[in-house]
Amino acid sequence: MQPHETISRAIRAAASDGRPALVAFMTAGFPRKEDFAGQLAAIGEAADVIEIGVPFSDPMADGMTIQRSSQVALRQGVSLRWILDTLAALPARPHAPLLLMSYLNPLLAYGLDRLPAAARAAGIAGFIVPDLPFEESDELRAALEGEGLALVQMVTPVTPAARLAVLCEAARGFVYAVTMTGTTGKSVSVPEDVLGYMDRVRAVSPVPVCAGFGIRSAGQVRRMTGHVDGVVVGSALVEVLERGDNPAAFLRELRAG
Amino acid sequence: MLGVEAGGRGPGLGDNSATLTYGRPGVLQGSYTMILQDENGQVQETHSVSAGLDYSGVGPEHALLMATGRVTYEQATDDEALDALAECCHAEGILPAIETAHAFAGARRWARDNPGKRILIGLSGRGDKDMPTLQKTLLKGMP
Repeated sequence: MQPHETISRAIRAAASDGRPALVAFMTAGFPRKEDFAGQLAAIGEAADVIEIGVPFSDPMADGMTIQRSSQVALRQGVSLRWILDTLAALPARPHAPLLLMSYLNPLLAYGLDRLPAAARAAGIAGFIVPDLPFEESDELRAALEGEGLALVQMVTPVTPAARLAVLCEAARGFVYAVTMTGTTGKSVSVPEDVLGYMDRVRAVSPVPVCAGFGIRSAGQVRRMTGHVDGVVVGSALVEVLERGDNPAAFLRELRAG
Repeated sequence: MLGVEAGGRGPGLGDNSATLTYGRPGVLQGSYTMILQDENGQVQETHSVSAGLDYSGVGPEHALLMATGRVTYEQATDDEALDALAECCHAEGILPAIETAHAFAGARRWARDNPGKRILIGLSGRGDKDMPTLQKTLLKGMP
């Protein structure tokens, strides 16, 4: 099984009881670099897929929480290289497949030629690159495909139908259905038209569809049930980690509501 | 053709916006161009007395013009740009933008080495918007 298939399978397996799977986002090294491995294990107790954020100086798709977490991580010297080295050296990695969320420039600085093999060796199954438009993604997609790694595609409520079909066709792992036009972190209500949009994405996607941006409560997750295969929980989980609370307990509550 | 970028306070990281001189190729805010960044691809802070030049990237056209050798890029410091701005005001009654004043500083330097040659400067903006900055720099202490 290719690494990108482990992502799709984990989401489908978790969603088989009807409830959306949980894709849990954490900023690597936040709030403390030395807690990274411990946090990963704690989140892995309840998450179906773990999305590890590579901190970036200019996180233009992210709201206040993830901007702040990125700055704190960068000040401690967290880098893509450190994340991959740390993961590769872990005695045991979580059972849940791992994704890296990174803006493009840290990947370019690392080198697209050596990134896929290093990522695979570190147990990474795929990537989310929010500032890489599909039309510019051939080089990275080809490089990742060589190692069987996913490049998750992001779609939004304003993505036209023809483009939606192209993006879903190219997506590996899952399709990231952004709930709104804006940045991460603000809570979203889930009106009928958002559910209709999720249904449209799901109708054309060969891989699972996960809704993200602004998912904070069990009520939202419940409302999404039947319309998505999974939800991405980012800023709300980062805030849990910031407070030092138990991430697994928070994730279980989110899905149990 | 000659291009002049912002040398700021000097060559130190964070002291200038001389992207083409000190940057490396990368992607920032949707453009593949020259970026002031560290070895991990983290974008660095910049400085220039000119707000319009105080940026870690540069228009990708400039990166292309440099890469293809059509334009040679050099720098003017904050002080050189402000001097050139003052000279342009006194000599011509024209108040250029501080961005443009960098070009005047570069042109003045080039003219010294090339007496009698003609120079065409792209006066890309006017400086009335820069008066608050000029009051704090060039005009500091003046009534």
